[in-house]
Amino acid sequence: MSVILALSTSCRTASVAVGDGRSVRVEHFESRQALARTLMSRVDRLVRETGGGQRAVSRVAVDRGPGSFTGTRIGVSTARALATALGVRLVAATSLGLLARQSACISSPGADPGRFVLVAVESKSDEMFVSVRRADGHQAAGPLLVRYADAAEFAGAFRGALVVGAPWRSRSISASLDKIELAPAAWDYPDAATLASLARDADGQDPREVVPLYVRVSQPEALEGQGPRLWTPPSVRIRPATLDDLDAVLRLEKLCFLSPWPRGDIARDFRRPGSHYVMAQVVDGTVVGYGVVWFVFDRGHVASVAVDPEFRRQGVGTRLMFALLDACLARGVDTVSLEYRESNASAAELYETLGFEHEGVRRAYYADTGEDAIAAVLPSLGDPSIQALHRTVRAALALRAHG
Amino acid sequence: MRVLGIETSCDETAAAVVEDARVVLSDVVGTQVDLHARYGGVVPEIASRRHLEVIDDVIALALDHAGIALRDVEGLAVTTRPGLIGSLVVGLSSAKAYAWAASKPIVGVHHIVAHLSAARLAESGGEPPPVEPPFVGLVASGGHSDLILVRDWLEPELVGETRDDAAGEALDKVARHLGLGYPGGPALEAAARGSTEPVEFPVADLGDSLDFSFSGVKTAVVRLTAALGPDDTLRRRADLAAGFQAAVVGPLARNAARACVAEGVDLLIAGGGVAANALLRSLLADECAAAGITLALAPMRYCTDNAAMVASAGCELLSRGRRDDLLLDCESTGPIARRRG
Repeated sequence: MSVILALSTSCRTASVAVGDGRSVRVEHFESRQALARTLMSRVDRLVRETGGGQRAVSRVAVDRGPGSFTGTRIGVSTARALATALGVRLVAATSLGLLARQSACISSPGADPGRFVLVAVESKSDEMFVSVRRADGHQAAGPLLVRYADAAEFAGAFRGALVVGAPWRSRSISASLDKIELAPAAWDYPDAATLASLARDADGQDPREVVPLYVRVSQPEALEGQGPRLWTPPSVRIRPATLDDLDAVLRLEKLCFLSPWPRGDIARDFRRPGSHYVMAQVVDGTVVGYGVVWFVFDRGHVASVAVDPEFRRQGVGTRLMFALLDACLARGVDTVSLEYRESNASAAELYETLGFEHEGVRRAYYADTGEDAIAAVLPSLGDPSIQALHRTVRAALALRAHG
Repeated sequence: MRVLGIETSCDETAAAVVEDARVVLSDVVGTQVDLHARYGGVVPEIASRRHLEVIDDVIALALDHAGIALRDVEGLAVTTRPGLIGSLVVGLSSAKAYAWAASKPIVGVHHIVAHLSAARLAESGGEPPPVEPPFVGLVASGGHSDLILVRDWLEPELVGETRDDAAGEALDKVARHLGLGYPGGPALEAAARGSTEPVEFPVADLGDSLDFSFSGVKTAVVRLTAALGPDDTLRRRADLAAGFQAAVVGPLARNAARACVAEGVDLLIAGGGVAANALLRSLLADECAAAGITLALAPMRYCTDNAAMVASAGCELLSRGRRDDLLLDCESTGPIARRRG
């Protein structure tokens, strides 16, 4: 008889499991205070209940965090010592990896493999560790540190994502999740039973090579500037326009374009029901960008996107475009067109990134320089491949400062 | 009886095999002093991380140096109190797992009692010193300044302790204040050797009590250096160091001898990191000679934290039938009961 012994102690709900290849016996328990005191006696009892003794343990597996530093250390030091003393291999998995594996059980077989899955475990009281993955298991980013206060906004950047793990269940977060699915509470914590079944097919390593994954550093090291940075929401916010924004739009027109619209034209356009304006604004209230889309029959036409030169190359234009495209979707508009100056390379790059196709050239379209305009079109905003592309671009934008 | 000892209460990861509480078969100390030096003191989170990374190698080395396997030991002893909780749990978790895997008895050891047991250890090949209760033990280190009456190894009684800073802690703080580096005790001692005219600092008068107080003299140093200014402080650094050192280790030696007289015992033992201080060792020798007390100093290498002393103390407990089960726990504090009456 041989069994796999698995320990997961990185999170508030800890677990110990013993698997014999056919079935897994698992015990879950609240770990906070008594973990160091009770862990080995739980292991002892579970191994005995399975009908074996120490010699029956042929492999040990451990959750190496991230999570609670002390909790993780108790599990990893116990597992390393057990594997070393018993002369067996040690299989290590991360808490976030275990959660992701558990969440794979939730997705139905035909589900979109590109869907984002955001797995999270608790860190300090007001922060969480998050790993960004795709439903097919591919890891896109992480582990990142995200504040609870920023978590809903972070998740919002991953359209249609599934979020897994106890931190998302915090009332302030779950209440503000939009177009996001919250995984069932059964998968709130990494589970030693998952680990035991994973360990069956893993090679394992020399136990002395297994160390916790802390992600964070100690306080004095953090003061020296070491360790991971917190995820920070973009400092420029996108919002719908109000009539008070007329002056700001006029200012941006003058700042960004050779031939700005006259004030009267903008004022009239502002009030037109077929125009939708969005604004980009920094925390102090300064408006640094705007965009407008005209709804013409069943088409959307992006008439203008302007960003203050000092705020370019930060994704502001891309986010303004997404706000305009969202407005199109909300109106049931599926086809979107636009024009840009032939010499505007960054515009060409942006629209290509968003899936716009070359539609034609309008000769000498701009009266000021006589320059040609490139006409581009996004034939179907609702096309699944375009939606997948936009999902990826939005996610990359949210993660751009965090590798 | 051969016992494997494990010690992780502060910043040393240590394992040792000791036979019959006295004979050291192996003694491995993985020190972290370099890791903490840049922060001027032990950083608990860094210490805990390092313990975990090296503990299994340290234990393997200890068994290897003793020429035995885990199955050859008759029990395990592990420091469970007092200490940094994050560090203690690494040693405790490992020790319980090794004990369970090898089906060996385990016993938790009090760190201060282990420091006393260090006086029983013989360095390799040497004859173990005849240290038997009753005796008074002085344990002075970065975390403790205790006088303990031992009539029975299993029933230590506290007769004196510091009311504020531990001796080693005061030495560390003043060394840092004088810009002497870390760890402070040895740095201060080295600086004091250059003194020609030690500054005299007042020593706390606690009446008949055998307790200590070092915060007053520490403040006196800070006040004086402020009055001297940076240039004169630097010029008189050796004299300041020598004066402060004397004001700390003087009371340690005097009260230790007084405790022996008060309790009517004629054996004094001393351990802990500060017991490696040369001035303290010579003052203890003088006091004991004057009072007709036998002095047993822990060998230098067993003064600072090590696991041989833990194995020794554990051996005493195990050989007298004491055992802990798998629910053994650790705690950051671990007061030794005050002597009654």
